Amino acid sequence: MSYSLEQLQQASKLFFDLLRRKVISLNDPAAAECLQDAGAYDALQYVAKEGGCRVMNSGQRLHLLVNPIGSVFATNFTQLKNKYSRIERKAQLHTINVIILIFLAEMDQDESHFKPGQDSMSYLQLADQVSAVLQAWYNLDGEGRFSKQWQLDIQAMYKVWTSLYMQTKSQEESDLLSRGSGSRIGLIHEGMKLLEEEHLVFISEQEKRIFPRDELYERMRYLYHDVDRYKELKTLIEQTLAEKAGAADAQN
Amino acid sequence: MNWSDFGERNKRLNPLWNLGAGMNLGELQPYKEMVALSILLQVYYLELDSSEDRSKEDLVSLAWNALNRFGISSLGSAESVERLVDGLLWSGNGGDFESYYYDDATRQMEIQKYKFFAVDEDATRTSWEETGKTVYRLSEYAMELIFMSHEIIEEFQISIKLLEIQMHIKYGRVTRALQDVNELISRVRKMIQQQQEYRNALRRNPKHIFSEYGVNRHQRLEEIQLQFDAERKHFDTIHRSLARLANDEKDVIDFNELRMLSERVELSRRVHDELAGVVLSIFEAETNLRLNFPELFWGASGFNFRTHVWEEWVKETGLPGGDSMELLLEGLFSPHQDFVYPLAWAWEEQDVGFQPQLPEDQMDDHGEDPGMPYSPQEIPWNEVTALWAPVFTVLAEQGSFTLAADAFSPETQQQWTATPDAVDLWVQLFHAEITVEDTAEENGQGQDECRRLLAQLLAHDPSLAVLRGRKLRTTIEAGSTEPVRWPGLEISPYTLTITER
Repeated sequence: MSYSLEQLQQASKLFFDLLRRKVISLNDPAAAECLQDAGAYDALQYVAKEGGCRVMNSGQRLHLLVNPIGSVFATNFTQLKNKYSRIERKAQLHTINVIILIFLAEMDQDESHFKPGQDSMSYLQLADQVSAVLQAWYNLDGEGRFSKQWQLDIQAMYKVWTSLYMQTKSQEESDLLSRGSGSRIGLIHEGMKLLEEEHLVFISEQEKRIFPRDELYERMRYLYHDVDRYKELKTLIEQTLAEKAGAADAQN
Repeated sequence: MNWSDFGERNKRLNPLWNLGAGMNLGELQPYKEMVALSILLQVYYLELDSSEDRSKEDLVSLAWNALNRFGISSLGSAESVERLVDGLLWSGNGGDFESYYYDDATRQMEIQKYKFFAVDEDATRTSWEETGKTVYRLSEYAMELIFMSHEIIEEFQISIKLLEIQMHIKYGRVTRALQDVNELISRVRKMIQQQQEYRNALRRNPKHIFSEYGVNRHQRLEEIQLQFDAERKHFDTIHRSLARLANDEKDVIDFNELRMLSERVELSRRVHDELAGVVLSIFEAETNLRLNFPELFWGASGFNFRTHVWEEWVKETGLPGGDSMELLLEGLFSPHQDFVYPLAWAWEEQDVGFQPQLPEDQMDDHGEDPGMPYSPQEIPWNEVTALWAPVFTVLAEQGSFTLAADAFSPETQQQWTATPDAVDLWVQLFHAEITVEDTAEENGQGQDECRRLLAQLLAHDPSLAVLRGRKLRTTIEAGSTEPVRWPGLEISPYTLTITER
């Protein structure tokens, strides 16, 4: 398919606008104009693809997302280590990932179980769940099952998590969330801040709760609800396993 | 604890505990409460419809109705059903039902007497003459039971509540109607909240259309729209009966209460409209999603992060290495573009000089200080003011000044060339319209350079005071875009004018 110069101009204009603003409402004139022209929209997808990104239309907004692999762009996520000097070890970073995964799992549930009004999570709730999951993995690891599959030190993650202190409830109430670098809440805050900077959640300091924004749901829907995309993600991750195994074989 | 409250609650619950109690109905035994309640409800609807088919025979057929409906008619016999109806009409000894309750005022057990059915005297009088039958209506206690069970049914039963209110108003029971309207309002508000929650859920995951809630909603679509129509009629009727009440029975009815009631009814109507608005907006959203974004519904239903990514995959089998968690999450993020920080800005604060440019006499104060004092670069105000003084003198006299090739003597031109700070001020003046300060109090600190220049000029030359409060504007005169050329300097032919007083 070939695009006219005008379409390309429109597409690249919107692309760089998206790059700057990340999310644009469909009502925004810039987006509306481009969406009207199927060719221009197609060109936009193309431009994004070449940059290792994808443009997602959620029905309310346009989002610009990076591909997990092969994007020329950095994200707040990849810059995580730079931003927080506190995250010194890989196990800490992985623990943050687990925290985010658990939060996402709580937010995006089976739609047949419609639970209105249950869509925020307190820091303490999240901390409890993380404890439970890490404990379960740690127990499984006793049989050596998980270490093999994960190729990752469950033990280290468990150690990181358990060495952090758990603030008592009164400390919780008096302390600001960001304080207490040696605490579990502090680590959770680090992970959640990442989502907040991305404008995906709202963190209420007073209530010590995390409220997901619509943008988060739109992105999760796009990424994880689509069978094809889900499979793509799965193969991608299995590939890394294969590559690692290959590298290990080569070493031996 | 408030014990007087206890007696009241006790009295409200007694009829419920006694409903269908103490009868021996054989095979119907386990179902007697259910059947009894259904009879009460059916009579209640008959009353709402002003039907007078409420004699004992009618009650028996209502009981059979219920048995058929529940699919247990084979269990009933003519005797047991009649026994059931009898048991609802009168207590075992043929009189009122009796229950104990604790009366806090007397601190004693008291006996509460009640009936589930009372004789509808108005209807019975004609009916006795025509058919010889007694017509029953629900007693206040039975009504109470209906209302109590009503609270539980939260679905679209608003119209019935409205009918009820209408009935109360018809009989002049204003307080009762007011109570009901309030209840109705709170219930409608609750429903609005539910609808809004559903709408939010829909925004988050359109597949909620297929959730239990969404599907039920859709099946009821027509029902709901009919209901909104019915409500409109009900409100009309209520308004009319209220108006009639106010006109006819001024003496009997507390006018203030009536006013309150009609206000509440009006509020209730507004809340209903709001509900209708929300419900319709959801239909709109649903239609929009189905029509314009069908792809949102493709794929296996029920695909979500918790079940498929977390519970079946990550939590259960684990991932190949912690880095793959990053792969899993990375896709959520937008490309990150750093704010471009100009290099010039980065250095700006450090762009300071070490040459003391303070006037000589101030240097003397410091004495023989051998150390080079740190001082930021400063505009040499003395020279600059000297150069600008003639410009403003001309401006004050003639109302404008144009920078022309022959505006200054060659000597002055050289001085301009040697003082780039003075030249820069032309450019700064060109940026904006400037109002000369009215008062001389400002010493020029913390202001931009243009204002500081003005302050300096005014301080040096009192004759310039005529400029105070005036607006100045700098333009380049049309037609003469040819730059002015002085030795070592090329500058646009700026014109400084007084625009207004």
